[in-house]
Amino acid sequence: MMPNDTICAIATNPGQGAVGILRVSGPEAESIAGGIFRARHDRYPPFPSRRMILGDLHLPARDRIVPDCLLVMFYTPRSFTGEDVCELHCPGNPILLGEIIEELVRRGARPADRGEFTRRAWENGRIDLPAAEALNEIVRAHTREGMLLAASQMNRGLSEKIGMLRAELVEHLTAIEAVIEFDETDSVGIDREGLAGELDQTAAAFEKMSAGFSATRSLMEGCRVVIAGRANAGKSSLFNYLAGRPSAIVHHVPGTTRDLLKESVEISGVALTLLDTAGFRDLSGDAVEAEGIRRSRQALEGCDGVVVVLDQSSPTDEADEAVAELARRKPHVAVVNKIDLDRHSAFRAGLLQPAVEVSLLTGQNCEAVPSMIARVFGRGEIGTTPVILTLRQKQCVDRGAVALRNSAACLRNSESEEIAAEEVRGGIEALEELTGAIAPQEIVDRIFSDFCIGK
Amino acid sequence: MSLNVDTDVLVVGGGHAGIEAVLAASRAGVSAVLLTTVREKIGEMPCNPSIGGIAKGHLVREIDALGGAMALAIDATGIQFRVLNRSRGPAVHGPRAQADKAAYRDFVAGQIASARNVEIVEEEATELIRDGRSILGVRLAGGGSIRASATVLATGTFLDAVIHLGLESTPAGRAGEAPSIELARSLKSLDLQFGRLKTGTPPRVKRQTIDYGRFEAQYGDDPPQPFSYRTAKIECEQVACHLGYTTELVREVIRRNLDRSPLYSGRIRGIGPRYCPSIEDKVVKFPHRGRHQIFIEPEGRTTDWMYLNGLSTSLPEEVQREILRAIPGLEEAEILRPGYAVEYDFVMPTALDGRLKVREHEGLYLAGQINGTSGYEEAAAQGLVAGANAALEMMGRDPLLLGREDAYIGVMIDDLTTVGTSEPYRLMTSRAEHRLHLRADNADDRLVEIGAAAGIVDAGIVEAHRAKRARREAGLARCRGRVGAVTIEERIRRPGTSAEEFRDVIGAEMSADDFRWIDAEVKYAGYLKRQRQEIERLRAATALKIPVDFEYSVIPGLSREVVEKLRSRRPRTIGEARMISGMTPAALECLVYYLAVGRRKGGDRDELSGAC
Repeated sequence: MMPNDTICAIATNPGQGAVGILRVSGPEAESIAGGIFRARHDRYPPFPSRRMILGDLHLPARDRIVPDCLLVMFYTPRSFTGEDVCELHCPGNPILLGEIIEELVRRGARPADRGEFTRRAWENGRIDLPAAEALNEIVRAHTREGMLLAASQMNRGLSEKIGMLRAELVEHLTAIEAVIEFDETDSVGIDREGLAGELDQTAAAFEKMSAGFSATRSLMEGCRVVIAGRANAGKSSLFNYLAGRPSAIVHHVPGTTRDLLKESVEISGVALTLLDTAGFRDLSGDAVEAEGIRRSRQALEGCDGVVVVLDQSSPTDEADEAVAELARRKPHVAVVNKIDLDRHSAFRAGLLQPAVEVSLLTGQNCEAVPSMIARVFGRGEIGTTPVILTLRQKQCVDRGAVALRNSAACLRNSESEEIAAEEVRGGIEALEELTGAIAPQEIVDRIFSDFCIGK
Repeated sequence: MSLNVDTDVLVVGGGHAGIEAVLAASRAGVSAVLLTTVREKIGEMPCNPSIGGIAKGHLVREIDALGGAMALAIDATGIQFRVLNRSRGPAVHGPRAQADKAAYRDFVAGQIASARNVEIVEEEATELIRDGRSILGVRLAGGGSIRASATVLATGTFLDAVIHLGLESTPAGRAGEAPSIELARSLKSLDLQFGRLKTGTPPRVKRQTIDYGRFEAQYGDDPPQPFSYRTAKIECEQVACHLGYTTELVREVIRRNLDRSPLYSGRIRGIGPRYCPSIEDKVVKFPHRGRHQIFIEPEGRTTDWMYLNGLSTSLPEEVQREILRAIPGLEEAEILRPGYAVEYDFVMPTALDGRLKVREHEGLYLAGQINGTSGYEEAAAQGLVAGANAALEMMGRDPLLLGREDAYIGVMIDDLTTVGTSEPYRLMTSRAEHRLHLRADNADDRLVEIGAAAGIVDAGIVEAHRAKRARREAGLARCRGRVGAVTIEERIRRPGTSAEEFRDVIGAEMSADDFRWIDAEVKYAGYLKRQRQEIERLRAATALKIPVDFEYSVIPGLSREVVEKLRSRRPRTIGEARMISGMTPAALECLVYYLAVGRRKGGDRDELSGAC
């Protein structure tokens, strides 16, 4: 439990806005915030729970009255932090908001530390640690899908799943500990191979969760889609079309884009990070471009999806085939460009499916591209399956997996039980750290310092 | 004629807790009185005739490292020594020995007789002498009183004790000894929380009436490994124990007579020890186990009394006789004393601080079974801590505080004082977070210096320990050398390999104990490094300094009462603050929090503005 003083902060974004919200939480929330509020109607205070009350704010130190503000009172424990919480909704001027904070502090509130509201919510059992992190991710998500995914983690899903894994481990540990606490002469035995197998299974569950992290991250930060294709096929034109402004230099001389260009866009509700690449063409003479091509290959390997641009006015060549080959390993879509020109007889229309035929020059059929991209790269419905959301969580799960694999190895190698037990304990600790059940102080501090004030 | 005595530290009870308490107070340099109702019973083992075991053996070695008597006593009088868990790693080895009960009592009596400034008073305590919140000593049944700066209650199972044998119950603390009813009433007038526990003991049978041919003889280790760092060699003649089993018929007899069991007829409401169940419990709770082990343990080298380990029971005597008749080899056994159960009151130990002092009262310490523990070793360890602290407090010296990272004693005291207990508390290795560090082979490394700082360990012992430590470290360093393609360390790490096999390289001057220590340090090296880092962090937290001029009133979460106490006591560290009565874990958190905030004062404002 933390000190139960009363804290205050501006909850809305810094800077100007139509409305600015101040949050006050703690045992004195009502008296401190209510003390500067004059309700329009004289039946307040006391303030009803969870209802907006109209009134003016009085700032005697500044000799100022701020009219037409709203006050909302949330009484313990039915509030975000679990304490009494009072919200003041005022005009969103940072100077004014600062003055109000000043007045609240004068009356005994303390400016909140980073993430202190969320921290109190966690400490008062309103949310668990993964939920607190999910909340942070909701605010920080770059993408709509990412935000939805984070929101789906606000329930105790992850904690419950981890809790089940933890229960399994506690059972395994108990089996080992029981053997240690009783002398060999008693008949309590241990099935080393069986137990090792079970520990491996739990470790595999951890590893699976960990493996899902990169997919989650791409969702949070946007799916990385590489635009690839032979030189001069129209990659940069497509990039510019999708990005909506000419950030890439579009030029008809092959080999213009030597660097990777990056743009975050949202296409039909799907967040993407588009990467334009240099064309695939073996030009060993040009060192700069060779480097560009190397980077392109690298981008192709590290990305989450590929859009291949093909030029239907020229014959399909080895470079096309090479790109198509790489693209098939990922979610992909082919954009067959230059339909304003005649189709070359040696162009292989079926090289890569699905495909959409366009002319980026004339804009013919271009409107079909976004919907195709959304269909291929969109993740569909956000499930409610618990997932690993943050790097911290992943590190916990990874540490747990390693500990359990070690433990299984100890048992198989006939090492002494107390060492196997030590590893399982390590695994349990990693999980408890994940859910915050035993979060060491410094880790808790680190988690919460990631938050904005007022959250 | 009424007796009136003044002393520094008064210890009530001559069991294992009382003994270590009075001796620790004496070593610390104050005068002490050991008050007991029967002088001859000092050092009695009312239950099993053995000391040590898994985790308990660790305790005995820790007591020894702190200058206590238990290890020396069992080394001098043990008749069979065996290290339990020998097939497992050194951290969970459990040294254990069978004791000659009478010889053990004699040895302990000798220790007390030769201790400085210790007086034994044979009387019964009937009432605590109080002055407000201060305890000034006890009144005696004979009309006199003993006044002391500090009183250590180590009354074992005697508080409001009732003995059950079948459906008959008698007020008694141990077979044939009266309970402490008046003292219990006096203690209950303090605002303490009480609970009720139960424990039991098996029948004792006559040696000559056992058919040993039906049992399997079990011998101890050869050579026997001493408990004490001060014992060079076990001189006592060693004997065998015998292992046998209960039969299907025993189960039948017990099931048929459950209605006559005080446990199953609802007469006993105290909670018994789960790890040491009665035979009726075993039969009911493990119906699929066809037989249970019984060890026949002699209560001494020359006595006829044989202890039937595994057969603890409170069934009526004639049922006990019937059970024995159903066990091969015990058909003709003559019962010298039937098994029985004892129910007794204990004080919820959350009322105590890390010194085992009652937080809300001055001058009162509790140790042993009165705190809800079971076992001679657990009791002795608490006695030592309580006795030492009673002395240290009156001398105005720093207390003897052991943390979870220092010793099993610390784990136990922390468990008791922060969580409490609802069943007889027994130490187990799995209770220790730092099990690979808290070992029997390094108890002296962990505690000798701490004991010396508290003034309860002789300078000679400290010196010997330092020399030993240097020798071991040098030996450990030599393990980095190679034999063939790999280092000695790597070889030792292989299962089943011991450092002793490399005696030539590591050093012939090493003792068997040294090699065990090296084994452990090498085998656990990776884990120890991590655990010790963790321990350092923990210590830093407890040692967190509180500035002398720290203004407690700025902390909003602290009650006025706590602020007043902190102001007057001026704790120098968080560890000291923890012992102040009324300091809840929440209040401590507040304190730690504000100490931390104070240190990074000034930075907060900046964080405020550029937050998002």
